[in-house]
Amino acid sequence: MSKYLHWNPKISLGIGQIDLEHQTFVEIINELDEVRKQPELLYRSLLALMKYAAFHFQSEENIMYRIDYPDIEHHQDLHIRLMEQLNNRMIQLNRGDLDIDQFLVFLKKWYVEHTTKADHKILDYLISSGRGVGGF
Amino acid sequence: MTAANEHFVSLEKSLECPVATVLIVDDDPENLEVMRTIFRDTSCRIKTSVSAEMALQDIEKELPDLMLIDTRMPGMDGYELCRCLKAKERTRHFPVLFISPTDLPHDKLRAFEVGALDFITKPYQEEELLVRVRTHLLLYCFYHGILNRNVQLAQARDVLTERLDTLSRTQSLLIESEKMAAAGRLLAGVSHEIRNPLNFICTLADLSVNLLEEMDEALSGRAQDGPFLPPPIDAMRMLSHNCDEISNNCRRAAGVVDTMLEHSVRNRESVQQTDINHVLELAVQQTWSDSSHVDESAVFVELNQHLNNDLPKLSLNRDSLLQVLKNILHNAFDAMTEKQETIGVQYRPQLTLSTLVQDPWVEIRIHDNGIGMDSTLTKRVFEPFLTTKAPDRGKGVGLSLAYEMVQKDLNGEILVESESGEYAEFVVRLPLAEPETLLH
Repeated sequence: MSKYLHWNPKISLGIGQIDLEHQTFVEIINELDEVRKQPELLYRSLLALMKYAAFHFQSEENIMYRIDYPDIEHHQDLHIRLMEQLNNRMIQLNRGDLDIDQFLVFLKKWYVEHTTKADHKILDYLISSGRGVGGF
Repeated sequence: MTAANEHFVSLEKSLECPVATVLIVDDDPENLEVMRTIFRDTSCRIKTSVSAEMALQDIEKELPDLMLIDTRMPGMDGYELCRCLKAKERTRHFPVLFISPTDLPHDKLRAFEVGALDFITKPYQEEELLVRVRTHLLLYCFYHGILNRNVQLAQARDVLTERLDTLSRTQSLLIESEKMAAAGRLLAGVSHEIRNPLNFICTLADLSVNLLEEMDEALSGRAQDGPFLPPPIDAMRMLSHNCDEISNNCRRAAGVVDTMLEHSVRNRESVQQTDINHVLELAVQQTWSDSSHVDESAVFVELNQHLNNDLPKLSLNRDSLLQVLKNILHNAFDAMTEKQETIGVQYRPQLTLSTLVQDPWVEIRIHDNGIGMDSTLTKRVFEPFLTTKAPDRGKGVGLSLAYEMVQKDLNGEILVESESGEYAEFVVRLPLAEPETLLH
């Protein structure tokens, strides 16, 4: 069975903690795809998705704080926006205004966009500031 | 959701909630759209604003019943907006709920500090939002109901207060008119008392004039025949006797006038050193003369007196005390008259008067063995307009007037004990202490 989303090593930031959490995210998305036809499991997986997203954003923000990432506030705003979007889509999915395929399409785009663009800037900062990437 | 929905609908109906207007403020149009769809199946009317500033403008035109506000907005944020709303009388009553992308405790506290009633964190579930909003709408509707009820109660209270005032004034007027009627009775009684001696004086004077004429005829030898002429000595004795009687009747009339003067000339507001026993005796005299004018078949009452001769003089309004005692005595006489009418000649009316010192009071007790009262009547005897008498006999304010006067003018107490068919005893208590000390 082919996976919905594959982990692309190219988007790894070289920051252990964050990369690990991103990978976990991919697995959650794939799980959603697997259980899409089973309402109870789907519901539970969606709960897990929401909770993990909240956890991940906090975790990432903590790291940004530790490394004195200058763009931290803007990045936090992005996380807030992401959470709102996710929430909105989930409500629509729940109401039946969105089907699971549309939802997964959104989710993939949502995830990829943020991890490749915004999160990648963290790596740029680490390199340019000479902090190096080890230790996380 | 259906069971919860039914529950809300039934509560909304029972509180008669009108259609609610909910104003949602969020800078993200997509958030607004999603929230709108959430409320699609409810009866709420949804309005949206993309900024706090625009929301304030909208509120100028129309007050919502509830607001859902995003805490994070550029420009004025949700907290600021809430603070603005709560600062003004017009906008501070409807519930404000916050929706927040963060769930930090410090944000929640801040929300409640600025006056929000609830705090919903994102991500939220559709049901949660609905339930909270509807709950607050119900509470607001309930609150409104209470406010309206209070307004209605205040209005009803005002009407009642006005009516009470009118009643109170009417009562005062009636009591005044009763006082005047009492004065009228006194006057009538006194007039009768004066007319009697005056009649005697007239008759005696006429008789005396006749006697003198006859004496004149006899002495001048003019009368030859005619009725038997008394010898001059007898005639002079008769004249002397007539003059004595004229004197007595004059004194009697003067006494009556004095009584009347005592009653009315003195300043009614005056407080003076008063001999209680004396006032009691005066009251008996005056009531007796009032009653005997009213009813010629007045009862013969046996009077027993146990008066404490060492009663201290009290500083009080003498005229008020006199009026009080007369009213009570009047009642006692009526009670005994009524019993006589019921029982007949075997009944021996007795009135017992006592005065005594019972620290901190001086007590005046008036005990009659008249028709008495049952317990219901005893409890209500001092109520105005309560009368068991026929309309021509009393309007029923005498005792209530006495009660008022004892309480207000004399700073005392008035009590009654009675047994139906047997007796009634009224006790008037007057304070031993100076009235001035009681007033301060």
